[in-house]
Amino acid sequence: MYPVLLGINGMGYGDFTECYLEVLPRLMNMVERGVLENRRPQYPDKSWWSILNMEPDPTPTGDPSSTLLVKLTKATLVNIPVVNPTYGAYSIRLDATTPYDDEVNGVVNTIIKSAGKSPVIASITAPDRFLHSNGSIKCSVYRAIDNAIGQLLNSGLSSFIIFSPYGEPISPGEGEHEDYGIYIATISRPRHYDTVKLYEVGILFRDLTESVQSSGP
Amino acid sequence: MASNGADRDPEIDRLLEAKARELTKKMKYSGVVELSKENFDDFLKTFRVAVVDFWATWCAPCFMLEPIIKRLALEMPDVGFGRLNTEEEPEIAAKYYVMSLPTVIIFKDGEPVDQVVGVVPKKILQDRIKAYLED
Repeated sequence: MYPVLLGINGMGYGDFTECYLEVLPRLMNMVERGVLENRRPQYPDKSWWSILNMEPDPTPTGDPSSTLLVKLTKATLVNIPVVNPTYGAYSIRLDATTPYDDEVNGVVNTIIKSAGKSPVIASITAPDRFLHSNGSIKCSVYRAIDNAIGQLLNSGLSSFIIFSPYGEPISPGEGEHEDYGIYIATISRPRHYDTVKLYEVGILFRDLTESVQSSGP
Repeated sequence: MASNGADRDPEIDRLLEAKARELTKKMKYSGVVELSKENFDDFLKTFRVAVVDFWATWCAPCFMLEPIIKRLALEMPDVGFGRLNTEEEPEIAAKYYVMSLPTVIIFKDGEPVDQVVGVVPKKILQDRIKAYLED
């Protein structure tokens, strides 16, 4: 499988133990782990434009497939929340109409189908769509994501960056999240004693894709 | 029957005032206190048993431990709970030989008596803290 960049909007490390996750905590001990930093206010479109353009303060472009990261990696886009409905091979409306488990399964199945042919850049928006207004389902959402990542690993995924562009929702306000998200990857973060900045995720994925393609997928 | 001022025992008044001062100070440090060199020593002096979580923004397990510390702070009101960002206050971290993160140090009467390195279940941390409340 080609490398996968999977962003989970609004997920934080805080409830990994509370929600009794199995895959992600084990994965943290096996590959590189770190903290992604993105200060408030954080919005899904602005955050993802930053990743796709590999710039801290990006100018949104009309077509996500023509962004620098996609041109460099030739990646397939899946459910990217730069527009509403999301952009890519799998797409949903950015509201509560798609249940969280439907989205998680849809994204994972699309990744598995696509990553045999090209690198994949994908997003799961469920924590951001549901947890601003209903924190009581957090563990159900987290477990669905945890199971899905286990499914991805079982399907042969070995090169990846799993991250959250920002942390957990902290209020009903759309741009209000913790400033710190997750970073679990098979590529080292740029500096050991520092957080990973949002725009660096794109650069890291380009480097990961180049290193895998130079040695064969 | 209500007592008037003349009947009040000055010793009891003194004790009540001291207790009120102590409670006011503890209220200042309720929840999980963000510690710095400005309040670190005063925080330790305020509580017979105090717990300090040494962390840094780049440390992923530190974020896993944070909600455990917050819950313990709610469940153990007699214990002071604080967090110290080791990037902002490296001198304090060095003073207590904090080499790995997260490190939780339990203080009794202002002195370090125990430490836990890494993320551990809430029960384990709670039991370690309780041991210093009982003796």
